[in-house]
Amino acid sequence: MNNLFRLISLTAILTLGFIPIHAQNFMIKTESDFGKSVIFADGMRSLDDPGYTYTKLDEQRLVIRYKTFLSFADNKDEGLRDDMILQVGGRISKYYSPLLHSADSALHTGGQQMTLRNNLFSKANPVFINDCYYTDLSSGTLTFVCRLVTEDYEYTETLSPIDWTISDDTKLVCGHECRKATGRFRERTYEAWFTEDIPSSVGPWKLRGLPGAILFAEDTDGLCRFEAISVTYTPDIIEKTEYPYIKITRKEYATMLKQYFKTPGRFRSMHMSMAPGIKVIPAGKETPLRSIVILEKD
Amino acid sequence: MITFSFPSNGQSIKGRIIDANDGKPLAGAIVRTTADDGSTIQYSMSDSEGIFTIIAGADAKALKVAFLGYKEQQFSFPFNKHYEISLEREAEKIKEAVVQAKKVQMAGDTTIYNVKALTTRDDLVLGDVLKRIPGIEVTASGHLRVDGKDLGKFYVNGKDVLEGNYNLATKKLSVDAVKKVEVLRNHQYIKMLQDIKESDQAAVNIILDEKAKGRVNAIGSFSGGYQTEPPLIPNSESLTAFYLGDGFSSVMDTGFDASGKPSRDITYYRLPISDNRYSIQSKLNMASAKAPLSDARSLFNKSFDSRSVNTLTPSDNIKLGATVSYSWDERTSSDTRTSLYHIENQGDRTIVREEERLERNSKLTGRLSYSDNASRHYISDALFADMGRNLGLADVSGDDIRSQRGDRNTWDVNNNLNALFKTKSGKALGMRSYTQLSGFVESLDILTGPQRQDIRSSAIFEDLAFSSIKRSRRNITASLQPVLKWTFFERASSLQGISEKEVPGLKKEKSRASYLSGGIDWSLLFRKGAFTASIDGDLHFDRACYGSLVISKPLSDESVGLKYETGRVVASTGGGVSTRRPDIQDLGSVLILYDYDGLRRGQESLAFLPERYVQGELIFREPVNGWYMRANSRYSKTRSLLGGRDVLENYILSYNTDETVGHWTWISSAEITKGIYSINGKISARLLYNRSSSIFKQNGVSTNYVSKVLSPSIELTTSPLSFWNITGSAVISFSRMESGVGYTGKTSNAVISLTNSFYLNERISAGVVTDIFYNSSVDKTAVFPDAFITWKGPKKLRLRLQANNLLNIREYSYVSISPLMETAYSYRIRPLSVMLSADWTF
Repeated sequence: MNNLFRLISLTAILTLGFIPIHAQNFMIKTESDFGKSVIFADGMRSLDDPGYTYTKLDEQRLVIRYKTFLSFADNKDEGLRDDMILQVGGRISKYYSPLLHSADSALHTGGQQMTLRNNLFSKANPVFINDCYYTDLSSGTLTFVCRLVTEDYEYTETLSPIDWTISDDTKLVCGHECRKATGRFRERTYEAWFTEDIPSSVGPWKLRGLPGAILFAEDTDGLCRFEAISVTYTPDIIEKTEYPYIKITRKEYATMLKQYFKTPGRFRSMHMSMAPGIKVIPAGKETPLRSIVILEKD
Repeated sequence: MITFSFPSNGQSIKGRIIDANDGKPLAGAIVRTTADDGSTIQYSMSDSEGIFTIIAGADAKALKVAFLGYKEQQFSFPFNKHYEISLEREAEKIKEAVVQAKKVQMAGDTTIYNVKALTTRDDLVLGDVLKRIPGIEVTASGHLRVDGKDLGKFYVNGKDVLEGNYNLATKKLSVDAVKKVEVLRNHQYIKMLQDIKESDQAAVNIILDEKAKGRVNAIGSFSGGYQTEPPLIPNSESLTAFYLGDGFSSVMDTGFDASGKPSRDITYYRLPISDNRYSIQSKLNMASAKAPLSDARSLFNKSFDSRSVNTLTPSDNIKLGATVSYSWDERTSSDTRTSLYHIENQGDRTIVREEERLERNSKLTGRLSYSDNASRHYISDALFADMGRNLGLADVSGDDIRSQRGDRNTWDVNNNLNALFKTKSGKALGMRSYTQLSGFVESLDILTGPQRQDIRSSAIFEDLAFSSIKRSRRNITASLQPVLKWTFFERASSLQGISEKEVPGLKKEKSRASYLSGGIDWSLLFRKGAFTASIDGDLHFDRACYGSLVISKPLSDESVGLKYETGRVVASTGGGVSTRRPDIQDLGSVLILYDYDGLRRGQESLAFLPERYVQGELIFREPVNGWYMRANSRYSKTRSLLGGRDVLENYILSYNTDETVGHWTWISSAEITKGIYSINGKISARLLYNRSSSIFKQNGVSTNYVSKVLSPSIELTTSPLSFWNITGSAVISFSRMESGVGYTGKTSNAVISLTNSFYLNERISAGVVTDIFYNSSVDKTAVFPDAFITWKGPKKLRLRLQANNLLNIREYSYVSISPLMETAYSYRIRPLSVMLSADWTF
């Protein structure tokens, strides 16, 4: 009788003790222009785990916030809109979406940040979680990181200098006098407005190389648009989160993205091998997701 | 058209750029040649070694080297072949140059206002910015109304830490501590009901600036001055401190005022049952002794109040709160009243009365609350208790010479418990229990005569309900709520100094009434896209007991509503039929000494009175451009019973008003507001129209009576020139009354208030405040000008020197018309005074 009691109490204590260290699974349901989708993501490992480490890349000198538009492949008048942030340092610039970034950090630190809107993810694109572009300003080396389903990918490439033609047209963007420049980048033509008030060759996404920061850019077919809505000089840190990145090339990334749009269910089931609590959605009849235009045509 | 390609003939310039601080090469620096007018001709960038090459063409007049964070360097023509450039770091641009940040953004049901971009130099507290937002109204107490309705919830960084005391944030939280304000429409604050039950309440969420988090934000104010008549030294001091941290928040507000501006009105906690109709204010007519101008001009007071609001939020769902407050207020006022009574078959009678009043109130309140707002359940409980005392003294002279004193001690305790659970099938089940115990002990003494009355009263109220709410797949929400309400009320009195001979029925000393209501409240709501249709009703069985009178009655009320709502437009219409239950606190055969005029007996009949209404509303909003329009209209028809009024010959009147047999009202209002964000201005125009017609039964004879009021008003705040700011409002109202006995009354009022301020430089501004009051029945138009000069000192200190009531107007008159009488009031106004005040934010 005594032994049975001891066994029961020991089991109870051990079970209770494991609860705080048990990994929690987060299931994210999203509803957006993509339609409904379910993503499983790895959550907090334990209350003591500080999460992932961060590498400091540079000191931020200024931050530009852009209102962006990226159209759907099937109808260029419709597309995704988001606010993007460009952190500019002396050597490095970082371009990313603050909404997705904060949603993701909520996931990884395990805390549930209070939000009165329904769900941070419902406003964000569920595919482009953690898309970040780190550019070395002088050499033009770009490192792109992203998360597809549950895995983090990274590719590095060199951006060849864009042959910009600068015209005399000027316009005021975000309180700064800007000049127009036209250039071709990876089979598309872009129109960019840059300001010499900010002596740095930065720009949104992969556009760069003008004698001033690009505050407005769009491609001539109307597939994308970047417009600066605020320019703030605040000292801060530019850092990169060190997830376990899988190194790929830019072409491989473009292929994966196409696969994801075409057969999202199969793609997910193929890539979720490392996530606990897998629920495989049978790939019977798959409804493809509405794909976003891929700007780089090569 | 310029290009980056090198011109065929030009000077080749090479160079190396390093950081002056550490000698390290600077990569990515911008090098450009410019023409005479400064425009760029060629450009190039330094590589990872800091080395650059550029070809200067014939028209190149200068070579400029720039890099973000460093001071630009310039070299003029003629150019060297090689440059060794050492760039110096620029001092960090600490000043946050937020350029053209969006002032207003819309996201679904939420509108986000960027407070930093909407603040003007005159704004000190959050309320100053909120009142310029179209669609939001800031009341005198600092509470908010959105779309004409009281605000539901007020959050700070997503947490409801201030609860009902959020007006402290509106009135005292520094505008620098707030980054953004979100207005959320149709906000359902109970998380588990969010996809089950709609809400048409609005909520506001303020997002604090990073600098304000986790530290104490406080405002301290002091003002003092001199006034030509007692009290000679008006003064006012206050301190409000906010600590709004992550898991704990605490707000402390303390102040003393003797300058006509108490920091908050002494408002009593609103309870379902109250004895205000028998309060000293209503007996001694203090509530009506108020000039239509701002209180500060006629209020002679000494007020103290302090409040501490504390909230613990250990997790996102759980909240614990404790609030304590104590206030004390003493006011004196005086007025002269000339009343003209129209009495059926007796002609008109005029009575003149001068009254001097002293009123002293003190109140201590405490509240403890707990709430757990989770995704599958909601539990909350709030326990509230208060005790207070009011003392009133009044002296009358004129056609009557009397003096009276009323002293009352009150106490209340109430508990509000709510619990809701979500079942597996998505149904919400819950219960609510509201319990209240209240009482008072009062003595009313006519000092110049033998009359005296002691009253004791107590009441218990319980409201118990269970609810079940379910939303079906086809977007139909059904809710069923069995309800049980019970009230028990008792009043005992002992009246001395009046003989039984004088007043029949005087001997009755106790009055008891009880009311029991049990039944079901139900509602059905159907929603498709932007359309919502709803039907509500209740089926009750009520039982009212008063003495030997008992009425048991089944009652059924219904109402119907239709709404079309998108982000920009809301159109709704509805109507219903309901029954007004007898207010058992109004019942009572116990005679109460009522003012100097007489004795009042409560109703002795139980009446269930019907009401029918029809209403419609249209709202249009476009917050990004600042447009807001709202129009609404309501028509209702009902009956009412006025208390039988026995009056002694010794006093004054001798009429009885029995009943309002029919009462029809039509109330409409329209508003159009435009916010002018470029200059942080706002202009608002409103039109109100009320029409009510009634049939009175006076002494057994029916009389018709119609009253109409049309009131246009305009409010604006704008800066026509950069150094000149105008804030003003004008309210005009035209009223007309007609009664079946051939009496017609017309009156019109205009209240205009205008503040002109001029900015002499960054720190100093001066201006004039002018209040004008016009009333058609009074000869002179009253004009009150004040002049001020303000200085913004270092470290958020503001000083203001103001001279009030420059024309030293001491008295002001106003006429009010009611169906049976006309009264002209003359009030005492605060004299000329000079005040120096200081506000310090830290």
